[in-house]
Amino acid sequence: MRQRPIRYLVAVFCAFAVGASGSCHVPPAAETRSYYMARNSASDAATLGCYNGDKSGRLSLFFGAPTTVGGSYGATAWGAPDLRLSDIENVVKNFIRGYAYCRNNGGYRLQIGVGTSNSAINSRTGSWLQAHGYAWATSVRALAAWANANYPGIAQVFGAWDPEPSWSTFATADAWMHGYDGRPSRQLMFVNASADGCSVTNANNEPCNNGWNQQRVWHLAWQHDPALPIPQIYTNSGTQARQWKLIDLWATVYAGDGMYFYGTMSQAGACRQVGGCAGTDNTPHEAHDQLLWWLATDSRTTQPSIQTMTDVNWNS
Amino acid sequence: MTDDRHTTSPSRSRRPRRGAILTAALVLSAVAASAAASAALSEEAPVPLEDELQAEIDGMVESGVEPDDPKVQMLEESLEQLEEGAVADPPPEPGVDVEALLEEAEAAEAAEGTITPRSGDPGAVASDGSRAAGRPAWESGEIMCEVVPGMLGPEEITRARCVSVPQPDGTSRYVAIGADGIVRTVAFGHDGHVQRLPDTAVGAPVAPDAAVAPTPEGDVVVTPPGQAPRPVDLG
Repeated sequence: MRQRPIRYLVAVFCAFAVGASGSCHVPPAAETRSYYMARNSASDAATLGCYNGDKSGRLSLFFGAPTTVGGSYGATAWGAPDLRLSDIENVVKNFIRGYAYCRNNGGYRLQIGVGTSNSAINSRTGSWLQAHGYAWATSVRALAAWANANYPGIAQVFGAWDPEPSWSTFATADAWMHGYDGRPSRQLMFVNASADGCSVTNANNEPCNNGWNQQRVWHLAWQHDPALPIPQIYTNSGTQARQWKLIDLWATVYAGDGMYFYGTMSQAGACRQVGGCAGTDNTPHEAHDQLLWWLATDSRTTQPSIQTMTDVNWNS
Repeated sequence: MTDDRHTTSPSRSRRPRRGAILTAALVLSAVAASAAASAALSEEAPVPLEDELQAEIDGMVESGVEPDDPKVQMLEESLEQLEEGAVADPPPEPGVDVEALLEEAEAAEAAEGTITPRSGDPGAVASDGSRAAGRPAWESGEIMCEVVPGMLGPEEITRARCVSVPQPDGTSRYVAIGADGIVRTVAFGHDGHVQRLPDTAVGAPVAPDAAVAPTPEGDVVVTPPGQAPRPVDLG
């Protein structure tokens, strides 16, 4: 069981005393933008990469639901043409080319998560999902090797995943993750998960939406080796931060394997694009502060800092 | 807690104690330092990613994760690669003209919103640097239903039929037609503008074997088997 008194105090100080002023925060260049990718031509991707030349840190490029495109594995794109994995690779490569071309500072670097979700997968078989996850890991691995060969010190590529309890059964989501994790030499994965329906008061493996529970959310967001949790912290009320603190607490107490959070994902940018989101438009700093604050309310879950602040937008 | 203002003499109450002065000074210093740090941070470059990764690895180990944990090892590999990359000097990627790509996008952006639909990008650069053939920016017709984050929830697409409907102005509508005939529409506009439009209705339940199709005008037609087509104005 974790006991981290000094770090507890540091986190409490940052969260309570100066959190609002930003002194414990990263500078704006490190508040990255993530995207739902509904616009995927080569020039659009390069332009998007160029636009992000003012950023340094982690971000996720989310494609849509896992699917098959002309006999190949791929992803949907919300009405834009479905993309094969090879198409997605080209989008990401052009994004990196644009970023490298426009990078504001030689010290800036991006860690890019190439993501899909557990949307629309309930009708898929377990073997299809595992194969898709495996193929996704293979594609991400190839992209990572390409980036390291051509743009070392500028961009690294990882997996990304948006699993949400309301979007599928746990079994189907887990099948996909097992496929990804089963690929030898797979890349780390940013897990930009939600914990919808999970408890905001108890850490006794309480139920979440759709038959998930705290253990199941933890399993996907942390227990799998590649998983780096960078959860969605959208709600102004702080409920999502509380949910994750309690999932972490459950894992610490009952599984002896507490979580470490690598970042937070907010959606203020997307909310501006859609004309507002009632009660779920945390800014990146608010999301960061909420999670750090709630983790700091218990010495068993506190951590000294959370590095990544990314804010999701629509690229459409 | 006792309020000592009620127990101290008037003269003492007017003269702050040394402790209070010290506390006030500390608070003011903290606030000033905080403000100064905030101002500086707004201009300064971020902490190098390498340092952040190292801090994360240290934090994980300090919190009880074993140093030989696969997650730690993968992060260390990533850090090592980043450090090596920072001093690498690779040759330019052959056959890639990023500037041309950016110019194409700029031209398309300038035309967008006037009369030119979002193009298929005929100047696309493939992974090998070669030019690839373009594709339409939006599908036209029935597509797999999926969640549109923040716009269309999982319960709204359950048993629905989904249609991508390109608009004459180059934008698109993502339309989910429920089995109950409710039509839920998300508009994908220019410049990243995304909007949930007011729900409409087919006027009858939509059976799984009903035909659903976009119209050239940017609306949808639902044709139940053996019945007349029912046009749906998407607004």
